[in-house]
Amino acid sequence: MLRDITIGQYYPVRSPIHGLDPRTKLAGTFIFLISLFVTKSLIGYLIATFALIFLIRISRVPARYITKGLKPVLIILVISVSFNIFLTPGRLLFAIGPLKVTAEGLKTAGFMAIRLIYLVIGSSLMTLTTTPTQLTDALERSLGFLNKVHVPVHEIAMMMAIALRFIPILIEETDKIMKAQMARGADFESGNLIRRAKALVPILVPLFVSAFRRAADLANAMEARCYHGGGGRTKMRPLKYGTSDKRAYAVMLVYFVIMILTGFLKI
Amino acid sequence: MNIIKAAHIFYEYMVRDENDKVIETTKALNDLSLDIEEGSFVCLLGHNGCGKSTFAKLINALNLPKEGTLLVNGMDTADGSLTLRIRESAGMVFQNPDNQIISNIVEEDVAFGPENIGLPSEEIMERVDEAINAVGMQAFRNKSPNQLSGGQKQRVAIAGIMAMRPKCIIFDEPTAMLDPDGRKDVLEIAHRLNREENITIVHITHYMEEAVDADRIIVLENGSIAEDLEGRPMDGTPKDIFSKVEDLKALALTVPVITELAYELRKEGLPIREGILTRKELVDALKPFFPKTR
Amino acid sequence: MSIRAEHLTHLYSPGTAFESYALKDISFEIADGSFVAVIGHTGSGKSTLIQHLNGLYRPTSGTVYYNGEDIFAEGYDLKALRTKIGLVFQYPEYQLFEEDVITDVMFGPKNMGLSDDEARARAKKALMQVGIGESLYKRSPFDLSGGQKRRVAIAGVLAMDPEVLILDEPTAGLDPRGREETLAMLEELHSERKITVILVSHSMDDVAECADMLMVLKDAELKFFDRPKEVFRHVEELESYGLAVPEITYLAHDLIKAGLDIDPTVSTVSEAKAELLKLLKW
Repeated sequence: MLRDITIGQYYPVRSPIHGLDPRTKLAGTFIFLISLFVTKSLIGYLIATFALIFLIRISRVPARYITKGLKPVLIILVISVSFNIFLTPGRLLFAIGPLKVTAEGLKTAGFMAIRLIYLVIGSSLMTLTTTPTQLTDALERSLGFLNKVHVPVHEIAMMMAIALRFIPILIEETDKIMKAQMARGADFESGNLIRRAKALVPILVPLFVSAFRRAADLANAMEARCYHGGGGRTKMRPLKYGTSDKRAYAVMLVYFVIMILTGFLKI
Repeated sequence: MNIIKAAHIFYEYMVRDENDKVIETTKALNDLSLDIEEGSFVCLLGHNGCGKSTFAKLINALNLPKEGTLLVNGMDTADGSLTLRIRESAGMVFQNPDNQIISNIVEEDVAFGPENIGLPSEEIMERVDEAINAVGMQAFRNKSPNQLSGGQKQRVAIAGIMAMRPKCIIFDEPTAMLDPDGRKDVLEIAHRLNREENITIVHITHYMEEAVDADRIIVLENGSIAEDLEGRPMDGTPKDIFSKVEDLKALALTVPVITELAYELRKEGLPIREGILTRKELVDALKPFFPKTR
Repeated sequence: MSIRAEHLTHLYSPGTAFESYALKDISFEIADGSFVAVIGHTGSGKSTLIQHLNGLYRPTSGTVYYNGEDIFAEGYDLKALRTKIGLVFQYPEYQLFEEDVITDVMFGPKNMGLSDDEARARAKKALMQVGIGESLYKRSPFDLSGGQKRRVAIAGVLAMDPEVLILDEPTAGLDPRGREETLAMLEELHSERKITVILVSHSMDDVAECADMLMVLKDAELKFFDRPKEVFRHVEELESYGLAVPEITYLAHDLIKAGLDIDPTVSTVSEAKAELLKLLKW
C-alpha cells in the first residue's frame, strides 16, 4: 500500500511540463486547487477536466501512472462520499432503511468526489513532473521571504529533500525488520490492541536505531562534501523563468478568471 | 611530494554514562606518524577497531587530532579556515552506499559538492558531466539512486567526489557491503582514477585481495603502524607485507589464498620465494619442480 | 526428515507489465544434517528462496515439505515451523532491540511460550555456543562491537533450538577474524549439534571449505545442486552466470595448462597443498 503512493515520485521524461520552472508548477497547482473550490457549476468542472486532460497529455506521463496514485486515497474518498450522500438534507429520492438519499446529497457527493480526485491528480502531476530537488528549490525560493522572520527555509527544504530520499529506504527496512522478527516467532496479527502495540517495539526500536545511524552517516557524508548550510551555495540548474513560464502564467491567469466567472453561473 | 603528512597524532573516543561522566576512553589513534606520497595507491589494513576509519575521518577534517599535526595537501586540518579547501582536495567515499547519497537524482547528487563550494552553474554542469563519465554512469544520470545496485551507488558516490576535482580520495571500506561484482567495479575505478587522473588513493579494506595491486600497504594496530614479530613497521609493498604471513596472522589478518598456499608449501621446505601474490607467480615458481614428462 | 521443495515458483507482480520470476520451478531435497551453501548473483533469487523455506513468502505455485508435511497447506502452523527452521537475515544485528543482551536473546524462546527460566536457560546456552561470555549478558546490545552484535543476533535465533539454521551472508561486512570465527562457529554447530545449516554466500572460497552440498541459482532458476567439487567442474557455466570458482581451483587449471597433472577440482588450500606435495614428490 505504501508503495502505491505516487506523490513524491518523479517520472523522468522530457515534456513541456517537465521543462517549466518548478515555481511555475507550484503556482499552477495552487491555482488549480483553488479553482476547484471557487467553481460550483458543471461547466466549471468541465473546464477543469479539459485542463487536466490537456496537462496530462502534454506531460507525457502515462495516465495509469497517475491514476495509480488514487489508490491510497480511495478509502477517504468512499467515506466522504457516503457521508455526503446520506447526511445531506433535501429532496428525498429513496431510502435504504434509516439512510436517506437526497438529490442534493448525490450532487454534493459527486462534486466532492470530483474535487478530491482532481486534487490528487493535480498534485501528483506536479510531483511526477518535478524532481524533489527542484520542488524543494522552488519552495526554498518562493518562501525565501520567511528568512527575514527567522524561519530556517533552507534547512527545512533540505530536510524535505532528504526525507523524500530516505522514505523508500526506510519502508524497505521496516519490511525486512518485520520479517526478521517474525522469524524469531514474533506475532503482529493476533491479540488485543495493547498486545499488538507492544508487538511493535521489536520493529520500532531497530528502525529508530537504524534511522539515527543513517542520519549520522549522512551528516558525515554531507560535511565531507563541503556542506556548510545554505550560505554561499550555488546551483547546477538555478531556477530561471523562461518564455514558456511567462506563457504558462498567462494561461493560468486566463483559466483562473474563467473559473471564477463560472462560480457565478447557475448551471 | 607528500599529500598527507601525519606527525605524532593522537585521537580518543570517550564513552560517557547518563550523567555525562567519562567511563571509558579508547585511544583510537596512538602516536601515528605516516606520510603518503602524491599519486600513490595506498592500502590501509587492520582488523576492526585498529584506528583506520578514525584516521580517514581526520584526513577529511571531520574530526581533529587531539595532539599532533596532520597536513593534507600542505594545509593543517586544525586550521578551521582551511576546512572546506581540505575537504575539496581530499574527498571521501564511505562504507554504506545508501547513507552518502543525498539527492533523488544521480546527476543532482553529483552536483551537491560543487554546489556547496559555490561554483558557477556552467562549471558545475561541466564537472558533473566529466565526473559521471569518469565512473561510467552516463546511462543512469537521470535515474533515482533507489533503482541502482550497491556497486552503482558507490560509483555515484565516487562521481560526487570526482566533481570536486580532488587530489586525493579516501575510500573507507567502500566494498564491505557490496557483492563481488560491485567490489570489482569500485576497485577498478579506484585504480583507473589513480592511473589516469593521478589521484592519490587511500583504500581502507578488509579484503586482502584488494590490496594486492596497491603501491604500498600500511597495517595499523592499536592506533599506530603495526610492527612485525621482529619489531619492524608493517609498511611496504604488497610483496613485502604479504611475505610476513605469520606476522599478519598474529594481527588477526589473513593473506590472499594464493599467498597462503605458497607459504604453506614453503613451510614444507619447498624452496620457492616469499611474497607470491598471484596465480601466475605461483605457477612460475612451481614450474622448476614439475616432474619430468612421463 | 528433510526439507523438500517441489516445483517452487514465485512470481513478482503477476498479471502486470512488471511480471517477473523470482523463483522458477525449483525442486530439491535437503537431507537432515547437511551443510548446504546457496550461491548466486545478486537478484538470482537466493534470498527469496530461503524465505520460502520458513513460510515468510508464499509461493505462486509449487510447495515446500518439511518432514513430509506441506508447510503451505491450510492449517499448518507456520509460527511453530519458524522456531524449527531458524532464519538469520543479512546484517542480523540491525534487529537487536532489548535493553540487554540476555533479554534480547530470550525474545525468540519467549515467543514460543516458554517460561522466563526456560527462556533464560536457552538464551545462555545459545550465547555460549556463539562465544559470548557472561560478562556481556547485562550490557546493552548497542554497546557491543560489530562482530559481537552479529553473534548475539545469531544466538537470538539459535535460542529457539532450531533443527535447521538458515543464514543469509552471515560474514558480510566482518573483518577477516570475524569471518573466520563465524564460519568456524557454524561448522561446530553443524558437527556437534547435528543442525542442518543452509548458508547463503557470495564467496566460493568460504563455501569450498565448509559446505558438503552446493546450490547454484541463476535468474530465478536452480542450475546446480551437487557436491561442491562436482559443481566446480563447470567453470565456464559458472562464469557465464557471473560467478567464479575458488581461487585455488583456478590455480589448478593454470597448473594443468602449464603441464602439471593435478586434480582440476581441488578447491581449498589444504587440499592443494597435499596434492602438490604429492605430485612434486617433496
